[in-house]
Amino acid sequence: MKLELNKVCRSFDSRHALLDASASFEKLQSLVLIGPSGGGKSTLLRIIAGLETPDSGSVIVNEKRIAFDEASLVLHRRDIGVVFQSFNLFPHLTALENLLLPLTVAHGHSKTHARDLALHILSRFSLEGHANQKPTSLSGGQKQRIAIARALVTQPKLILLDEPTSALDPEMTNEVLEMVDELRNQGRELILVTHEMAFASRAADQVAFIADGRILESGPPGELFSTPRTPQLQTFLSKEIRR
Amino acid sequence: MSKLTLLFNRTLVLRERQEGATRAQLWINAALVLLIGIALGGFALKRANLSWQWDLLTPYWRLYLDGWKTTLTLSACSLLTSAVIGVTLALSRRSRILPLRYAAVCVVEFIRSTPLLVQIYILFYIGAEAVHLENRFIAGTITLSLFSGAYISEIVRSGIEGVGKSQIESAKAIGLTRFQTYRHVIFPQALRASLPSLAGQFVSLVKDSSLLSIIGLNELTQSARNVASFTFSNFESYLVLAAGYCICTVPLSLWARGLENRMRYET
Repeated sequence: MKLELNKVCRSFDSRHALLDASASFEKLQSLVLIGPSGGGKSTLLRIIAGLETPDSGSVIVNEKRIAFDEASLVLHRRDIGVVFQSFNLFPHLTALENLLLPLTVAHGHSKTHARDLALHILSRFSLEGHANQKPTSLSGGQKQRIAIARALVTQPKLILLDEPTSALDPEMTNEVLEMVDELRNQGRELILVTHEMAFASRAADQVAFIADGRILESGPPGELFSTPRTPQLQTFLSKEIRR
Repeated sequence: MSKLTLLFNRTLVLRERQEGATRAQLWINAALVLLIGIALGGFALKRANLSWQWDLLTPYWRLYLDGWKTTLTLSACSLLTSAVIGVTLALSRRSRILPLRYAAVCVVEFIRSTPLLVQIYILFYIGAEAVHLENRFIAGTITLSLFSGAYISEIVRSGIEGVGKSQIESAKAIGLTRFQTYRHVIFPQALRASLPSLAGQFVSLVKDSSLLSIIGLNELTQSARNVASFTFSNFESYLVLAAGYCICTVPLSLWARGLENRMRYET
């Protein structure tokens, strides 16, 4: 994956979430965004996902500049899988139906073909036992794994995960992180926002540190974590280690 | 004595943390309430010194039946049209086209803040007159549908707004268009959430249809009025009227109650 951000700005009610965020990554498989809360990492991820429109600046994914009009965005979103912090499964649908909806409605697959694809993904992650359960009867970890399966089922070019473990108990965090690991091992391209530093250094090709609406540093995790250049990253890392 | 009080308490009062009445409690207390009701009613009737003359009504059973049928068809038609109007108004109120949005606000607020009686007069003597609509049934259906549609639109709107932003966001994220989001994500959830209130509104609609008798529509209330004036037996004819409405509304109420209970277990 190739990702290029040029002076991306986005403000909410005169508060700058992103202020001239720029960076360029080549031959990237997994990018992890870290940084203090409110620093702009989720906003950046949502812009790449096509769920938020920047006030100015441009985002180029794999040589293609994202066009931020609604019609193009619908197509853009179909190429991308998104996993949210709070799962966001559709509560009125079973786990299986949650996977079928993007396949049949957004991508126009036939019902039988969609069913095959969905059941295949579910069984690949040992979730087939939950296929007919509604989200309310699933644990947080199961919900998040179903949500990841839903993001994967349409074979997106890129998977975006926005703090996928922040709403989970520590034991459930593990089962979700293992699944993300597996995605990485399968060679899926992903961008991940996380507070799990140990996981970040294990799973990332590149880490970008975002604070005050800017990408202050980026690089391979080993380098970035051992020799932080900016004082912001130094404070951030020392706080994270103390946690 | 204290044993008796205890027995009373056990039978009449739910114990703390007791979820619902036992079968015995249900029967005993239901019978008790019924008895008290009959006693009060009997006492009032005795004091009012009424003499019942039910047999006076029998020649007019056909009139009642016709009226009842009209009320039933009128309610059924209005129920359908008001649902369509309600959804249309609710969507218009959320539309990005401002004239549409403000028009919907005006219509809904006007209807909700004026008596149905006035609306019936306005629509029949001005609206229907203007377009040369002489069919009272159609004019009545339109009036009742508009009236009920305004209330339904508010129910539907709160149902739609009850569907969380995160739901709409994930619908976007999986690549649904705005229309697909409404069709597959918002409406199914909004409908489920607003079904109990909708059923309640439909019960009101059936009863509100009685006001259409003022434009001379021969529905159940009009029949009862006629019978009352032929026979001078007001109470008898109106009690039959009440029973006629109950036949339509009680099943609706029970259905609503059933839905409410089911919803409670699902969430």
